[in-house]
Amino acid sequence: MKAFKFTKLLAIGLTATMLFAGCSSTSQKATESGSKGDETKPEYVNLYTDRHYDSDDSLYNAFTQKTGIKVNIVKGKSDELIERLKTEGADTEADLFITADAGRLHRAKSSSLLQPVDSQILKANIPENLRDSENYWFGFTKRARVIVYAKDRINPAELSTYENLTNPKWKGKILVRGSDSIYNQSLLASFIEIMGEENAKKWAAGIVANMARAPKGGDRDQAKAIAAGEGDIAIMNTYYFGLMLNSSDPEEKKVTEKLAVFFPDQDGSGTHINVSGGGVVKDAKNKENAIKLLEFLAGEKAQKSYAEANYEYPVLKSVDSSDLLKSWGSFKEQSVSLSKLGELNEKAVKILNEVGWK
Amino acid sequence: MNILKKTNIKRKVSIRTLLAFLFIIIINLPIIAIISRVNFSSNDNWEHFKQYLLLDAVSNTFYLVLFTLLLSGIIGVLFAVIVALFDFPLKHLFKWVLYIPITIPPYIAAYVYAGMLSYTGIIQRLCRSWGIDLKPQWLDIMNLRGAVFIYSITLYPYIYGAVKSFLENHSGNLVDTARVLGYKPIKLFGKVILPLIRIPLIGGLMLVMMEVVSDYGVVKYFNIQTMSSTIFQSWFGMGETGVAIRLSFYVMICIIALQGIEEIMRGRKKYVIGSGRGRPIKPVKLKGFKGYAVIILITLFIGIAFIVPVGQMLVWAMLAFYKVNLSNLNQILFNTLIYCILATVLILALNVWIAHSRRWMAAKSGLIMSKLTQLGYSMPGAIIAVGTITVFVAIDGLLHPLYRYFDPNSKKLLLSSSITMLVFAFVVRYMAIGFNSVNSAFAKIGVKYNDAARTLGIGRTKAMMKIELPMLKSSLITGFILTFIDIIKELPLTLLLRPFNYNTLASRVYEYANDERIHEASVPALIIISLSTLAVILLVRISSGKGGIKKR
Amino acid sequence: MKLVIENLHFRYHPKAEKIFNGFSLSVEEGEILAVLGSSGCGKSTLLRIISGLEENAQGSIRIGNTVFQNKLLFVPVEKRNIGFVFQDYALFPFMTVEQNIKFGMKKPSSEQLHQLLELTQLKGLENRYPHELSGGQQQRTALARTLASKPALLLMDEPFSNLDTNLVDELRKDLKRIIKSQKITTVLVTHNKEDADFLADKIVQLSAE
Repeated sequence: MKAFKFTKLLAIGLTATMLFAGCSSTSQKATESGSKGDETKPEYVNLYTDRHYDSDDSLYNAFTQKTGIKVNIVKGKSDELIERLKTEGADTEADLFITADAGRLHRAKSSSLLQPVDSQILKANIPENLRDSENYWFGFTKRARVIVYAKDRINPAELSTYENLTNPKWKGKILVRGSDSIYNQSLLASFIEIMGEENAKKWAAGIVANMARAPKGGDRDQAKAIAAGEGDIAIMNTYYFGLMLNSSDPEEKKVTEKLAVFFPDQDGSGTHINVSGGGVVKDAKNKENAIKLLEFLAGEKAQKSYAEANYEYPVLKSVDSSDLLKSWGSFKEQSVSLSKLGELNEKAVKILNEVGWK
Repeated sequence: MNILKKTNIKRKVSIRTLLAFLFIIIINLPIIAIISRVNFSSNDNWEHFKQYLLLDAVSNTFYLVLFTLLLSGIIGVLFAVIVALFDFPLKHLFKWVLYIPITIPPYIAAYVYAGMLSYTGIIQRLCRSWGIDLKPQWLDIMNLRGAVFIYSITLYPYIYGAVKSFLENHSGNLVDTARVLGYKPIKLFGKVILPLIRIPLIGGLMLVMMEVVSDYGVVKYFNIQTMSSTIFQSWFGMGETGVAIRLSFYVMICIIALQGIEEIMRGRKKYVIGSGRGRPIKPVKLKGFKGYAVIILITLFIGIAFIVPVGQMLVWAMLAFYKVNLSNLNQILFNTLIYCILATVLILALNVWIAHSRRWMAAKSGLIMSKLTQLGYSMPGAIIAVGTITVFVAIDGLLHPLYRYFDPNSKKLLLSSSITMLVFAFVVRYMAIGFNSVNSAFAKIGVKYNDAARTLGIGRTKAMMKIELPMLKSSLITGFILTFIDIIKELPLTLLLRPFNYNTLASRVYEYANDERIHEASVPALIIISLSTLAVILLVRISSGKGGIKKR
Repeated sequence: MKLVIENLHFRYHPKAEKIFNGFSLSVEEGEILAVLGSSGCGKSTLLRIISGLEENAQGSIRIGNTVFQNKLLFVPVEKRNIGFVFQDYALFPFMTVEQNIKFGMKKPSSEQLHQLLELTQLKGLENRYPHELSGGQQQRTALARTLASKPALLLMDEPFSNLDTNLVDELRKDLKRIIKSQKITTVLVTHNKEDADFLADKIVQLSAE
């Protein structure tokens, strides 16, 4: 009797789940087809993004409220999203691709996944070096890769350039994360562009020689390691430093306050920056909406939100950085065209491997 | 008289077997899609890889696997033996508490332990406040040893579970015999128990090995160069599919080869006597000091593997709670449960069918079949994900005319933009988890009940559903728990394959953790852990409580 | 050696029905005692109590001059030196016949092994695994393994229940020959009266209360 009951239960459960699977895919179909069939169709834009901040979600909501265009989102890792776009090809549902690294944007472009956009607003709002030369993609926030040092042990007067970090006097003092970090790859790519492959390789080898420990952890862990005395100087992104200063853990806050930011290369080629940006997908079905969203993100309201909520530098000149970022001072940026970061990425990765940057 | 109504044509291959093989081919499609892209010609990238990365990747993977297997094996077997062979106070509680560390995803454990041991972590902070000067290097967990530790404390339950249930159900008379013959516990362990548990032990170790080989989260955070991290970096980092596919292919071959070697080494020996009639083991009472020693040992261990990290996450979650956006929590929970349950049920159903049919197959084809169901587990999740997309885009291409027939405006990527694809990918990846428990259960009861039912005029499949499934309830439940937990904590597949706006708990964890915001990530991670823990409790209750079929 | 059991009480759980309630028994040295009874009456439990596998029984058990248990003491199973042939023989599936038999020896000696193989007519099967043996061969392997430990007392649980009935005559003869040649005190339980009549010097009928 019991045996019978169990089997029955299992059978019912199975059918139910199967039915549900059917339902869930048909219901999806219903809403999608409904949206296309009606006269007063609700507008939408489909977004693939590797930015995953709650503040971004509220921006998209604001966009929907303003324009009536709904934003559908798949969040993932940029490289895998590129792979997904490649596989889906012309049939893809995605309209807009957003990622937090210019190198990846360039890769999407060179894999023929994006299309050029001719928008006066975008051109006017975004400085030329922060967008693609052929307008395939547009950056809308900046981050700087800077030097963070221990206030009590390092005299900032001793710091000058990225290159200076390879000086033997810093032996055993430098903290930086692994070579698989896209931020390190892009940093090195910018050096290949500025100083040539030979010198860039020398720089990477010099950093490896000066490392305080085998690279590990994320950017935050580098700052913590300074606090712990494992090293004195870290190469990290402004963004994470901002996060730490506002950490929910009071101890982390306290520790971070003993550290300071230094913008290198101010007398030379400038501090390395990278952008978050987006491009319209080549086979976008809702191209107009995608452009509208891009323009919205480059507009004043969104730029303000980026500056305030996320410790990022806005690209729109008329919008100020947050007070925290301003307190670190303004700085000269690298003028390298960010497309180059993508073009030189493979070379950079190989150099990192060759010099033994783990 | 109704014999004539049924088909009496003699078939060489039964429909049952054909169906089983069809299932296997379908679940291997994504792997075929990947493997078909393997290219063995040498190019610059491959040479570069060989020159600079190969040695590190191979040796780190080797040591990582070796030491993780050793440590998790020791932990798993130790506790399985203690629980199966002895009675001690609170045993019924500890018995299932020992399963629970499996609910913590390894990458979360890595973040939590690294956080706790860091300069701002609880331990260094306490030491500072007491004026003890600790060298940070002493507490460094972000290295190979640390990774071994993290994997071992989160993965040992695979071994614990398999070995414990085997001992409880099979070893009674054998252990008694050795005791009557005067064998003391230590000798008994070495001479009888260790060889006896070979099959469940190896089964559990294989699962652990495949988890370690394909895991990416821990090694990425600790920056350890392994095969898996190299595959990721060369594919997703350098956009170089050739090296990545070739590497995953080699990894897969290695794992198959290892299993083959074990199969050969086992030779003619058997580990379960055919009739499966061994009496359940009768545990020996540990009195006084020994009983308390065992309690202290288990408590200490659970403290390290579960209570401490989860406690730390609770503290962090409370600190960061106000920053976490939980507005869609209901929807997120619903999404998570739907794909987890769907995938788990499908995996179990397919595995039941395959294990059921395997019993009437020649030993060799049965073996090949069982290996084929496990391929997906040996590949990193993201690779499976890419293979799955390839397959589904192709299927959608084929089926598009059909979609059009029902709805002229239908879009082309219908299946690929629904959770069907996500669920399918999970089936591909986690067949192996369910397979172990289901297959060994079917192998254990053999065909006799089925034969008996058949002589009573009931078909094989019906007999399986009506008689054998209820008998195997506890194994099915174990399979269900393990699969469900593995799926709910999995990340890469969920991240890449979910439909638009389909947020899940795992994706929320990723979004925070990837941003190095472990405090915020603790909130969704704790929900994952509680759900899995709930699953463990619920199902342990069902399997041991009233209403269940009693184990023999 | 003589086996004496006095005033045995046993139940599985504190709340369960008593299986033995003041049961007593004695078996002379070299004698074969058959305990006869229907299934479920506690025959196998009796063997488990004698061997020490069941620890919760009250009463006294002596073999020769050695007390195994009484009110004050309990000799654990490992130290009783009793031979126990289980109903399903409990041969270690991953060991060959030779390894199984040697498992029973305190000091493995090939001389003793040969004697036992001879006695149990297992010559030539040393390297087989248990699942490669017939039922009778499995039984004799289990018996050889037990005898290898030179037990003071031999316990056998349903020796023929797993065997082909055509062969039972022969197997009974073999078994009796082997046991008698060793002059070992034996308790065997069976539900089959013929087995008991043929093998035993003395029969005890056990009935469920």
